[in-house]
Amino acid sequence: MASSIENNNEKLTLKSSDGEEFLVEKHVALQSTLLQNMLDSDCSSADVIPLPKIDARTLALVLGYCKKHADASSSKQGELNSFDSEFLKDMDMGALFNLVLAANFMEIKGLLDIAAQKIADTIKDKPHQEVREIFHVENDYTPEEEAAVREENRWAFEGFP
Amino acid sequence: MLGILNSWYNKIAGSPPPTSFTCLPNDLILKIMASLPSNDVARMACVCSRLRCLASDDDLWKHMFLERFGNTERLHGEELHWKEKFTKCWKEDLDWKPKVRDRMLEDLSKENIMLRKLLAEKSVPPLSPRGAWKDKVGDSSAGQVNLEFIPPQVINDRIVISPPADLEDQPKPVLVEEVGTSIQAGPGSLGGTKPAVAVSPTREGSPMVLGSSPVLPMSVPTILRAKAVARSPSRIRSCDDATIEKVEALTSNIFSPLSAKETVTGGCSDTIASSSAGVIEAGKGNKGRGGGRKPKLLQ
Repeated sequence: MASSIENNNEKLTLKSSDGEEFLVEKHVALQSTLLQNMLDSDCSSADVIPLPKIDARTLALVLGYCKKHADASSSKQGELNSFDSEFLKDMDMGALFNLVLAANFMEIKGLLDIAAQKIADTIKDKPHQEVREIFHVENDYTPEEEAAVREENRWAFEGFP
Repeated sequence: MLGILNSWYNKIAGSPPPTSFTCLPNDLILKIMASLPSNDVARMACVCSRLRCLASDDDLWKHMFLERFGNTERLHGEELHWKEKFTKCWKEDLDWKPKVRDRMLEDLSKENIMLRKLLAEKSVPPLSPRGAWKDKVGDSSAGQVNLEFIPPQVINDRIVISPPADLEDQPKPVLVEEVGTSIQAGPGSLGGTKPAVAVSPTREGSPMVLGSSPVLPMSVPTILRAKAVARSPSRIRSCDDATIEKVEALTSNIFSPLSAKETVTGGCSDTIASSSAGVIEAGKGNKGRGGGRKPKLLQ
């Protein structure tokens, strides 16, 4: 950790699952606990770090988030909050799922929290049939099974069809 | 730096790999569920069998139990799944809240009876437009109580007070026949503005406090006169300004005072206007003076 602070101007290369390479300032990469642990151990900054689970589109978004938070770490929290809400605004569900997976893999807690919250907000107060549509989840219940599960959770259906 | 990233993004954005909710690992789905209200999580069980399994996670429900109920004291060491514990306490709360509400309604109904008896003795129509009392009680933030008290209304120039539905089993002693008391309405009243009312102490000399006021006895002649018009579906009376002031003072102690503009509107000013001409005709059934007009307000 100490060495990384001394070498703020160093850059490292991240490689997405689809082969795109991203040159990233070290202090930006350090927003990710995964990368921080790698840099603290034996990985040299000269190496290309592969991120096989993250496609280039998602990695670009993740690094955009990291840069803002790395550069603004000493500025006002309110500014970062408005950036966060704007960052996820109008993002489609597929991109949100990719983002939450990437944040989970790269261990970027702040991004993971806001992305998970955004997904939760999308389905909050929605009937379960609508949740199925939003998530593209197939109903694997028979009508009888679904009725039984609904009966188990009847208390939660007040005000719902 | 960000410019480079954006250019990358724009270059590749055309071919996003579709990722569905089912691609998410269990721990991420649980994290998302932990951000949802408890009834949303319970309903997620109906989406599909995998979500049903996850939406029953013991740690998740423990988290939600502690978040909602604070501690486990009320469980008395029961050996239940956390979701069962949660559901039990949730249902207990649902059963408990109406009881409290009913008790508060009962207390407030007693206040109403007392006020009605006082009104009957003094033959006072309160100058509240229909809905004003109800609004005030309904907005009460103290107990979230909606007391279904139907305020006085004007039908064919008569002021009519109807019993609330929840008092139907009570005796109906406040049917008072009007015997010809004049109302001396000031010039200001004709314009629909409220007469100057000083918020003076109540008849008992102390402000009324909900739940602690004495129930005033009803005089026998009042009851007898009430019986005489028992066939009439409405209660009819009139008053003078002094008694209006007293009732205003009473009600302003119970509820937050309204402005004069809010208190006197439409039907009430009409009543005052007609009463200033002389006497409110009342107690002659529904075919009294003004029978040619249609009632302004019907129940």
